[in-house]
Amino acid sequence: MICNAPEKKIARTQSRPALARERARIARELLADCRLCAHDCGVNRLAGETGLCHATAEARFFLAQTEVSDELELIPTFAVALSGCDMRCDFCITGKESWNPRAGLGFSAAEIAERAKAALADGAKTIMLLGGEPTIHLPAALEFVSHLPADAKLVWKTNAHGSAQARELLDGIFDVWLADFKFGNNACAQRLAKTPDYVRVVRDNLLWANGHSELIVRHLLLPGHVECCWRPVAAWLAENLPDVKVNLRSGFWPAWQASRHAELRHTVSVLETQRAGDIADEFGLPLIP
Amino acid sequence: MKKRTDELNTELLILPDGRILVQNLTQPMAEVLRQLNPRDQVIAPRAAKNTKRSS
Ligand code: SF4
Repeated sequence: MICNAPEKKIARTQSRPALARERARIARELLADCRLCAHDCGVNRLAGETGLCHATAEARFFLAQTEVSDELELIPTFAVALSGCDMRCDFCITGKESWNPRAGLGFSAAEIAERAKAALADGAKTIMLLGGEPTIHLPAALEFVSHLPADAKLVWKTNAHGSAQARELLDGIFDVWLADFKFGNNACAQRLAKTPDYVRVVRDNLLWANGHSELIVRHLLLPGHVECCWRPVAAWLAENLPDVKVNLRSGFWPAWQASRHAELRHTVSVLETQRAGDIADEFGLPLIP
Repeated sequence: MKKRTDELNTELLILPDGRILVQNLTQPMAEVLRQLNPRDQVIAPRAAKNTKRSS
């Protein structure tokens, strides 16, 4: 029999909208010396300077709709995707918008919150903030939350490459962290996503998220990366976060600049999907659909 | 062309072996896919996740 673990409840001394409003103000000030993600650029985004994500202080979005493609326990979710990202995954499924923080439309937190509330009234179970990567637009993300009902179930869909500073600002805000663990070693992260020191940063974020909210870890299987990426991710999760739910996704398709890498020019084979499932079984991971 | 963000968007990739990969699946599109293949165990529970307006 499978017993569901009790849901983690977040303890707050202030109401979430008030807390988010206060944190949004602090986050905006911090853009003057931006260290929101692990790239730690230290640029003044308020003055128009840009760091590795190329984002200014203006947040834009490229998608806001109710979807059913995420984890079954989270759907239907009203998904809001902010433009721009701090990683450079060549295989990014939304590369055009994720690599370009100027893509899409200007983000009005109050307006999109109205649409989110309508979606909730219409039966959406959760509201999900994603990107690109929402961490690089933390002020706008927090402002968005300040307009949402205090009891809405909020999901932070992240690449888990944020900084300790960003984590502090997010503490007590989102009910669920839906975090990617994409690469099992730094060489693959550097080659495919130009992200140094990837594994340490993601592990730190996952351990923190598990202590502060509900955590679901996602791993997108990449063709040719079952042993070098999925196996070490699975092994680490089994040892360090054995009760955390894991969603192993096999729907990779060769989007954006994936063809720069020979092994990413095709989809994941049935055999690789089976092998990945065997690895999950070997480590006893609690996979979810 | 500028993408409108008040329209529903789903992307599909149909593979030569008949598999269909989906990105940004909306409930109406899930329903279409369910009708095409009612035995698909991945799509069926998603098509069933109706919001009030679409049910
Ligand atoms: S969000 Fe990250 S990549 Fe962007 S400027 Fe700040 S530290 Fe640099």
